[in-house]
Amino acid sequence: MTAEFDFPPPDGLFSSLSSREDTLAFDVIRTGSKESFHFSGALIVYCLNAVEEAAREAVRNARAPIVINLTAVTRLDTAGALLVNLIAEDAQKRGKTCEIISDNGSHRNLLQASRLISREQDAERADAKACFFLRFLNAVGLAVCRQINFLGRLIGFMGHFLFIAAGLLFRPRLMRWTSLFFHVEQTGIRAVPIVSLLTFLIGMVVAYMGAEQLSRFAGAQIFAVKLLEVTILREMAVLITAIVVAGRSSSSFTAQIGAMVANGEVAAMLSMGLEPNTLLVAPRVLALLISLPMLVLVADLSALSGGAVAIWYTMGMSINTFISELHAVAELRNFTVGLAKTPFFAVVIGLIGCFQGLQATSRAESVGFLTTISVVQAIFLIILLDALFAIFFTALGV
Amino acid sequence: MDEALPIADVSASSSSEAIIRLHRVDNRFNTLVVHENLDLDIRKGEILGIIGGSGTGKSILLRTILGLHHASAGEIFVMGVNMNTASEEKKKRIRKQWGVLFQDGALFSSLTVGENIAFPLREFTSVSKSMREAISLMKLDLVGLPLSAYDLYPGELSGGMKKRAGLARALALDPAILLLDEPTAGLDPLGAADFDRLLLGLRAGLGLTVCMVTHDLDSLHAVCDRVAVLAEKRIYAVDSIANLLHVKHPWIQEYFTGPRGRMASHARGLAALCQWEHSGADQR
Repeated sequence: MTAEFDFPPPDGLFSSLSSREDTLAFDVIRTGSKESFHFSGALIVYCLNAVEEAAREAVRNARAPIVINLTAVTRLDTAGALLVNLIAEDAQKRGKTCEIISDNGSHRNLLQASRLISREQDAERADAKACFFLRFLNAVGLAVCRQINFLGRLIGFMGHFLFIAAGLLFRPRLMRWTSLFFHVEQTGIRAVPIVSLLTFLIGMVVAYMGAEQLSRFAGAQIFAVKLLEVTILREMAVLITAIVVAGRSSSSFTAQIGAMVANGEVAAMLSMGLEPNTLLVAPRVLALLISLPMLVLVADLSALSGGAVAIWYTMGMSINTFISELHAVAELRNFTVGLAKTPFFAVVIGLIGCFQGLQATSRAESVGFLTTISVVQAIFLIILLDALFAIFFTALGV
Repeated sequence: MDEALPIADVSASSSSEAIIRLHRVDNRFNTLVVHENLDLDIRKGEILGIIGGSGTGKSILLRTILGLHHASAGEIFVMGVNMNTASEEKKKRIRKQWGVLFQDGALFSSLTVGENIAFPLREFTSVSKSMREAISLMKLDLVGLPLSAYDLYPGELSGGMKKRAGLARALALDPAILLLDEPTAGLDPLGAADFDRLLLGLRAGLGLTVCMVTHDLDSLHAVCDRVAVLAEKRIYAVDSIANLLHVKHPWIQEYFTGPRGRMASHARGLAALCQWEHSGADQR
């Protein structure tokens, strides 16, 4: 079968393939009153590095008119021709006459076609020479301005969103219900396994650590349940859930909307007189407002069951005793304080995700950058808000 | 191959000058047969256009030649090397011998235009940095981009400039073969005409072999030596446009003698006439 389709390489084609075997030599021969630069072999881009330095050196040292002799060159490409032209120009700059000899017509054409393009140094390079301190100040100032600018735009975006959301309250017909429920599923229901697993483990860790420390005091072990209840319901469940959702949904919002911006879909929407805030942002943020409290409920339950398992394992307390113990010590306000934080977190996650998505440009990597930024900012703001809430609720005495 | 009949067996034709040869290539996607028993020779030094209706697999054909898509059956020879059986080493050397321009340029978006052009030089050769810059500036000039484009990122370029920059990158290593996917699509008529002239100039200067998938009738008339028609799952005919006009296939007839086809050939006739008159005037 293969013999039948035997396909001999055409003459001269295969030789042009052998880039490794090609050799190039450069010699300076002094004949009478002239210096002859003699190239022989393949003057092609793969071989240039062998002679480039030597040739430039030779031009610098030349004392007589130069003749570049290409008669022994077997192959020439544009890069090789460019090198020859560079040498010739260099020689002329140094006030030496230079002549190129070639007996090959196509080589001469190439030499003519391979033009030297010079380009003046750009202004940025001069800028780099400014003193270090000034550049440092400049960088700091720029960073601060950028952050202030970002904050301003984010607040503006939030205002616009709230305006749209209020409008939707009065005219629910305008709400994209399909989109809303799709995002409730995506951000809520699909996050249940990961959220419940993580909070189960956190609940175990908190209960285990508490029981371990409290076991030093006789009879104090019972407070492990109280400790678990406060830590989980007030802080941990809601924080872990918000961080997981920020990682999952904030990034996916940025990626989805960013891809749409890069693809011109948002521009198409705007040109039709549609508002991306209504079509894209509102369903996502409202979906998070619905799904995050529900996720926190799931997280509370699974973290408490994780704690129950750990307490049963370390202290031998049965599940029934744990439940009645929990009933005795639990306070509703811990649960409501935890839940009260979720709408704020939901808005932060949703707005940051959508806002960063809308910042995308047509540059392909911009979406990638923005996705990272949106997750980092969302998690940062969640933890910051949580700290503020802790102070706030303590001051209120709840 | 002179007679414009559907070609049953291209391998019978003069093979000595074929730089790329496809032999009985099949492309199947599950039950969908895109190509069946496809034969095509691309001769050294020619500019070959590939045309075909939507969904006839023009881009798949190009990707098959490039090895980005593995053909279901058949053999592909590039410069006499069987790309199915050749060692990875040999295939790498073949890949350095062709330059490819993808439809939207496929420039690396994190690099400037200059860095994009210098990229193959940096990867495959050991020329010095200053020489790399000189070479990339030369290529930039060669494809007709202004110097100011050198430091721009692909995102900052217009569609036509992206194509030119992509071409400059494809030409960076002075390839023997240039494969182009719709090089003039999305260019304005003047830009497309410029591109045609550029291709002809490159072919004349560098002895390139060019294979282009195109829909641009003007471009076909202006630059292609031969045109391969993809129809009925194979290369139905490959010949000069003048000869293709005699092929009795409804799609080919419609393509070249439909309103736009007529206009393009008419325009070419006019251009030739103008040129003839011009040169006549010069002689006088």
